[in-house]
Amino acid sequence: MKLEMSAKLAAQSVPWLHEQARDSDVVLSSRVRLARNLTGIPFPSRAAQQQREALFHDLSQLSGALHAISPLLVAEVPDLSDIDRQVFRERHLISQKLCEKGKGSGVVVDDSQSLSMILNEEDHLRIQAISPGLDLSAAWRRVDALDNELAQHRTFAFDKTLGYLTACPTNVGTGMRASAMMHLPGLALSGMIPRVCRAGCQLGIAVRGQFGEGTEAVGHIFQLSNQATLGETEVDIIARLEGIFRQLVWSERNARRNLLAKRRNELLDVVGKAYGRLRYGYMLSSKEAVNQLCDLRLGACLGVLPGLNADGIGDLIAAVLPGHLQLGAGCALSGSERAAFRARTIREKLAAKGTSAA
Amino acid sequence: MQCEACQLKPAEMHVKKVVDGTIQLLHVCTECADTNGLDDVAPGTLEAAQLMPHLADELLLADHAEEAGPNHHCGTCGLSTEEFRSTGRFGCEKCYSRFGDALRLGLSRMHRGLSHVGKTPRLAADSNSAGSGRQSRAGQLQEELARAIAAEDYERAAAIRDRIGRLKMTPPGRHSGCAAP
Repeated sequence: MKLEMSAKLAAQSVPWLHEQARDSDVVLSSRVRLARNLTGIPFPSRAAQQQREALFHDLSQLSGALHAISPLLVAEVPDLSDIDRQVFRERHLISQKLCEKGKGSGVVVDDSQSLSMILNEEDHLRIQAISPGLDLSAAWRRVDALDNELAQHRTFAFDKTLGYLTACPTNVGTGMRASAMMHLPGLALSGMIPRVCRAGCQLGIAVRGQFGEGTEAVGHIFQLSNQATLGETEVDIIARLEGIFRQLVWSERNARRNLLAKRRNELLDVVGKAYGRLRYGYMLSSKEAVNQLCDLRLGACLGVLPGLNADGIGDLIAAVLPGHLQLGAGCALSGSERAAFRARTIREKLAAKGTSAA
Repeated sequence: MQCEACQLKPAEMHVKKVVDGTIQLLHVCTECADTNGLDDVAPGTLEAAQLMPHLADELLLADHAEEAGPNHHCGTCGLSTEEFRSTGRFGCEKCYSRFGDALRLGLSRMHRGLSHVGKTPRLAADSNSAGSGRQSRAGQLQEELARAIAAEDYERAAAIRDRIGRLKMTPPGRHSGCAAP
């Protein structure tokens, strides 16, 4: 099995999971991406195979000469094994949509693994940066710098009224989507998520759970992002989002404190049972593992489990996803083998942490 | 209910997935969900953009029916109105002017106005390396400052603050169009 690509990534832990980052008790990561197309070439869906391959070659070569990015690896989709693709996706470096493409589509990953250029997915180019905790500005500075440098070398499709022209009209204008991945167990356990979704809708913010809408969010993790890309500057969008996200961080902390004060046993039950299943379970699906690890993370953030801190729980969440898990095992595993190996990995990790539940 | 994938085990998970632009509700057992990557934690499976085909009809408004009729094609990439309706995606930059008038109202509903006010390629290219270098240097110093304050190293913090002050005083070589927030 050839795993060169993802092994290269896994040499470094997931760079955007830092427990010490700003507001990281609630916000796991912040992400900004820009959609760009080169002028004079049809968008990837209508471009000839030859055009797509030439563009991939051109931009991946160019990336090696830029200051704003120093490529750790350049990968064309057909070069990636199934496990590679899963690991890249779990690290948010590529999308499922990119995996479905062939030659001429791929990704350039920066040394830091928190900056990447996605080539010939829906648009010719997507520039993306992720930063730990709530810090959209840091992610914006990185994509902005790379975009500026690219603009000195290539001409982007741009209209003076409509802005940057993108394959999908939902991205036209700035081509920018800024998002935060938020852990909202306090609001979820208090039944407040529908209200958050409604408020988000009114404020032009999309709230998505794991599988899209509202309630089905694995581990109470939600992704919130701007809906509109036209009619507002990038800096204004980011400032507006950061303001709203900060409010939401405050609401979540408040909800957690409330639960701790008024429904303490219920809360301890959630955290304690999660610990029990993780510490003593022998079969865990990735969904179950993520759910329980997120509950454990809540307990750690609230300090209700003596000796347990949030350090390492984020890394463990990443490590038990199907791609990373199989990379850790060094071979492809069936569904039930994965469940067993996942449970073992977690048992050993928690045993090493030497925690006793309250 | 049986799992729709293996037809053997009971379906325990009900997940929404976008298949070719339409939302499908899948009833699967946890193992099949695992195998098919339906239960990984990559969020955003249901991007607003994936709903575009449903919005395309609304975008191409009835009063522009003729212009946006099924036989209308983009002269550059050949994308037809029908194709746009089915995928919600344009084929090239010229599609925006081909289908543009029909799009206007739809775009104004979807966005915050009809005029781009953000950065432009010209300003981006003009923000010369000195300017952006200066910007990132200031950012770095700000981070160093925050670290120094967190470590209660106030002497160092004061020195860094002075350096940031000096950096801000020096006029940039050329105007940078897109200052970081």
